[in-house]
Amino acid sequence: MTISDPFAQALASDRAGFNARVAEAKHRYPSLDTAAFAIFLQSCTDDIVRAVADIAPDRVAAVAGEVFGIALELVGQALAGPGARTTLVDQMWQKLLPGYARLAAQHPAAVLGSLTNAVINISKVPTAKVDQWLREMAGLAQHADNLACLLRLGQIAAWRAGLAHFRVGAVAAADQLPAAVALAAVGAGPQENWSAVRDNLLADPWWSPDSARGRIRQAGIEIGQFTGFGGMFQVPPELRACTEGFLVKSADRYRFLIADVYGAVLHPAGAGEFEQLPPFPGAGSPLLDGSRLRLRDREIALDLPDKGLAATCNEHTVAITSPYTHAIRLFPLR
Amino acid sequence: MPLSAIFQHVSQAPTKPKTTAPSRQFDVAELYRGPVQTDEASRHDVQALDEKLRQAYFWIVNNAVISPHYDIEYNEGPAPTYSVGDSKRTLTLPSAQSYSSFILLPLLTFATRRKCLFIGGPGRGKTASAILMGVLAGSSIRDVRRAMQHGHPQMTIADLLGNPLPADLATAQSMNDIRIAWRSWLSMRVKIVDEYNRIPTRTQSALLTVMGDNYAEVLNHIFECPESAWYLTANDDQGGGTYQVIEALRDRIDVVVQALAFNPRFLDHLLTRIEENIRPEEVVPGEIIFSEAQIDRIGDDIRRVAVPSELARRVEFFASQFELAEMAGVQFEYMTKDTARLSGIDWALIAAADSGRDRLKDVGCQTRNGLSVRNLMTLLIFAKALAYFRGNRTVELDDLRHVLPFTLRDKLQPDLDAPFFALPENAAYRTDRVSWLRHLFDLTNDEFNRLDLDHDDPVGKLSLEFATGLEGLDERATVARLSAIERLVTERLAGRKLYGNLYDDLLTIKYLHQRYTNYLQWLRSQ
Repeated sequence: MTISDPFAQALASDRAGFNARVAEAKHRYPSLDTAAFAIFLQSCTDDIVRAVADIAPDRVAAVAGEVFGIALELVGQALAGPGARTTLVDQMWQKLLPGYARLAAQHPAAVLGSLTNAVINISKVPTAKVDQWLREMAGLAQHADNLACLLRLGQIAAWRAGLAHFRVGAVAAADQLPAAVALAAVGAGPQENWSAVRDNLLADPWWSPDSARGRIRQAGIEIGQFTGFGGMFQVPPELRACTEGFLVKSADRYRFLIADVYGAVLHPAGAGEFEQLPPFPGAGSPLLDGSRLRLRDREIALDLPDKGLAATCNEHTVAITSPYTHAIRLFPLR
Repeated sequence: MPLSAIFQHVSQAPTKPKTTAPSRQFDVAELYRGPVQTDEASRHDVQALDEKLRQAYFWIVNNAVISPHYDIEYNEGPAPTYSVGDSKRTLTLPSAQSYSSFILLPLLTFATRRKCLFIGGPGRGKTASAILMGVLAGSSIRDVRRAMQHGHPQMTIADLLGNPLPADLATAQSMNDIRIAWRSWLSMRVKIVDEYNRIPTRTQSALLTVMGDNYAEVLNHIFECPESAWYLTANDDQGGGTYQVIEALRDRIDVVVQALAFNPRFLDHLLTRIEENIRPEEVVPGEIIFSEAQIDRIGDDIRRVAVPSELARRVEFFASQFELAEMAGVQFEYMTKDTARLSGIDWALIAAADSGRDRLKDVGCQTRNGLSVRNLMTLLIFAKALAYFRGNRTVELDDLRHVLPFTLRDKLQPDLDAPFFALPENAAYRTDRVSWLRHLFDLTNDEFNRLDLDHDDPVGKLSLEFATGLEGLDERATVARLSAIERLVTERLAGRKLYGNLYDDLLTIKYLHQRYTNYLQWLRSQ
């Protein structure tokens, strides 16, 4: 595999400078594998440079320089290339970035760096759906006519890919986009009214303009699992409800659980927060009847023994825990 | 890109990550912050100055001064310890971020604009460290080197401060007509005096004026120096220089740090420098250079770091141990080591006369002097600076414990004839001044805890009561307070020997009694 002519010419034009950057990176990252770096350059970064060469040939040198620097950082930290811990960054460079070539030509550092950081951050969340983020971002490329718009679209797609803690920020980001773009970004039809969609999104974390809502209402979301199987909890968790979500205790570890229609995320929390959390108003209402979860408008049969089964509620969500599972099941109350 | 860039790299990772209560406000902009630098990210990157100070520290430790000594140990939770050698000394592997005093104390001196003395054998990096501090202040390496004063036996006041212009000397009708060519180092923000103990005594006096009062004087002309950090070096701190350092000059030095030995295991670092032809002080990265305004801000921030009252009380208790010399005075207020010193009496006579107390138990017997106000101020400011450096806004006991030996090293003089030093297990404290001072602080803390002074401090309560003010206090209440004070004196003296802390308590009680007495007199005159 070789790199395209435009990229090769850009590298050749400052061969000494690029070589010095590699030498410097090797000192900074002693484990930097130059063969892996070469493969990453050829297989993942060439597409974006070629795409830029097609639409803005005068920007190739600037983009190539930025690509080269970012590639060194990524391969040096084993975040991309053959030795990387995940292939998601490679996929993003191959599949997503060429679609944003025009913006990358104008703002190479911001576009390449931001999208790379985004995919790394999303992939750190075990429950996040990175594939979905990549797919949605590729589909939204036609709407991104400036850098700010691209960044907002990325934030909205990250929320929809399962980063539930970004819900409020993502809706605020959508609110700054043209209504048609905002509707497309949140998965609503073009005929819908953005203000109404926004109000619904803010009012109920389990509301969505697409099919996700119906699916979640019955199946719920499961999060946690046993550490021995790659999960998060050493022992079956204990929950306390708060307005934004739940505080979770498992052995001597504490976490904050936040969930909505697009997913659930666990964040670190402290013992003090858990111990000092006041009872949630209205919590403790009888929702369980044996192994059946009775909600206002529906009933869900749980495949768990009724012994020790617990339901913990906040305003929007009921969380089910049991001594027979390390997972937490979350259902919308309505 | 030159290979000097290796040395110029400053890690972007937080130097002291903290476990803080997680915020429930999630910023969606976090999505784009990560390992790849973006324009957007750097625009939002408003770096805290304590973080910058730590970055400077780690850059120096990792790239400039090869100093793998972590003698300022912090622990979070249990730390593995090992008993080493025939002497059974303890090797601790600290469980929290720990520091090298040789770099940390000079950096805190830089941040607080105080005065630091480097001591240690030749070629251990004393001068190099001082030069680095000059470069951190934004001066070019050339200016720092040129401004450095090298002590030598022929150094005159003119060499140090400046010369009158020869033409003016010939034609001037008055002193005011004589212009002075001031030495450029006087206006530097970091002042370096190399081998200060080789400067003749008379020139040392001129240096004292600049160090102490921040101005220079030649022929009635005054040069006002800017606020600056001072670094002095000496191969030998015990008078082995060409000239004895005058006591007042030594007293102006805030901290003394020793350059520890080079660990040959780190020879490869030296080799890299030789092969790459790199001098660290010439490649200090721009990210860790401080502007004048930033140093001002750091100074303000450090002063704002809080010293909790419980901790301040421990400092009081520590300081109160050392001044008492019961046999040196007749009147209560003059029973001090300073009275004995001023009289010129042989110290051994005073020590021999002191037969009433347990001289082994009383830590006051381990020293020949007490602490001055300046010493205490220095201790507190450096404790604040260390807390700030560690990213805290409140001083902790360990901060005090760690800076204390370096601030008092030259100030608290041990009485090596004291019974404490005669014990075989304490013999090493005769030579290891830092460990002795730290041990001294630990002993007083143990005593503080034994006396349960955190909870049972009647003199402290009386002082607090007085601090609420006398406004509206009637005669009856004042008399009651006076009676309480007198009762307390009787209680405190019942069957007790006089120790330093009790002596200071009694002086405090006397002060309070006097204030209430004066107030009572005023009340009765109305």
